[in-house]
Amino acid sequence: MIDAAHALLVCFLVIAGAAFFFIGTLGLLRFPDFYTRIHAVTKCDALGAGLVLLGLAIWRGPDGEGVRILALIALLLISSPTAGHALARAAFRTGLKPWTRNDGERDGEIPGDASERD
Amino acid sequence: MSAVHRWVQLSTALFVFWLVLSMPLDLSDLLWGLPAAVAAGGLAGAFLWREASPGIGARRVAGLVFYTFDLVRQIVPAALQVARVVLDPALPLDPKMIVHRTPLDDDLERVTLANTITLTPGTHCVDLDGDRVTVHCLSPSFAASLIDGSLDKRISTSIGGVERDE
Amino acid sequence: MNEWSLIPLFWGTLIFLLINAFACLWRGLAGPTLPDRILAANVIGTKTMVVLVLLGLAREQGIWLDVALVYGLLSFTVTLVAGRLLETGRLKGAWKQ
Repeated sequence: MIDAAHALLVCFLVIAGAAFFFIGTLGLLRFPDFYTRIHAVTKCDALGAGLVLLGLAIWRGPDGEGVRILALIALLLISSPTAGHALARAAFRTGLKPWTRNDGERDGEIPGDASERD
Repeated sequence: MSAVHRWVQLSTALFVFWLVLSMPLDLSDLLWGLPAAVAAGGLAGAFLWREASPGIGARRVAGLVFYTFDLVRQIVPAALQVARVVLDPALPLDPKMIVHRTPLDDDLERVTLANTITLTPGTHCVDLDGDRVTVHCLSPSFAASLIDGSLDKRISTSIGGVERDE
Repeated sequence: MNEWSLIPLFWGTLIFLLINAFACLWRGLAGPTLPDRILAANVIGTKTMVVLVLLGLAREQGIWLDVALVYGLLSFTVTLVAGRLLETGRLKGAWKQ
């Protein structure tokens, strides 16, 4: 039904995906503010779920459920960045200030600094 | 594009998606799927695209598909970059908000730019308003390819320019 | 019998993801801001979707895949609607006054 190389590949993909999920969780818990947390979540969750589901799709094979799992991956790759944008924009437009290292010490204005926003 | 044309297009796309989802196909899937797709297409068409819809031709769709595969590869270094920061006990963050004015003048290109920014390492698109793209960077160095305009150029060569809106 | 059964790996991953989801719940409870809580809900939703797929394959019941698909779509919609509610303060009508 499933040979050794196949099984190893599936194992690797599922475990790598779970590891990225764990990194996303760590980022959500460790990072200092909303904007940095959303970095961790949109990237690591999309990749983690993508890898786990890809492994499962390979395990099931192209007939039947494998194709449905691939459709699920496509849905995820579209929805994860979109949800990230929607939330980040909502937070930004309601005036949530981003955290900065050495808050207040920064005086070197770079061109295009967000603080000049009208 | 006329309303009926749009209805047919959307219903076809929905029907194909339905066929993919009900993959071990039998006759009843086809019999139930077709009217459901036509009804859903009509219903969705009544709510979506009350304003002008972006015209997307075949060449543009092909460019978009290739670009998507290119983009998916970018998620891996982006997630690894986050991993490097998260697993460092010192949490080496120096976040910065940057406003970038994009030369891209088409909605589809701008949306693609926003998605690219989000999925490349260290940057996350926060707001897209006209040609102003507000970007949050984990540290200022990650925004280099955005500020010097090479990201804009890459998008306009892969999906832009060929066909304009109808 | 299948020598290369991966079912135990699936159960292990499933439990690992559930533990992760509970860890994310702490961010949802602690906040400190509303966007943080919505973000935590979104993350838990993604993990739950993968858990549903794993459950379906581990138990050999294909119907869980459809549940996962609908759950994923709903979770995505919830995030969009919550973001919109946060931004405009209402659910109906135009985006800009």
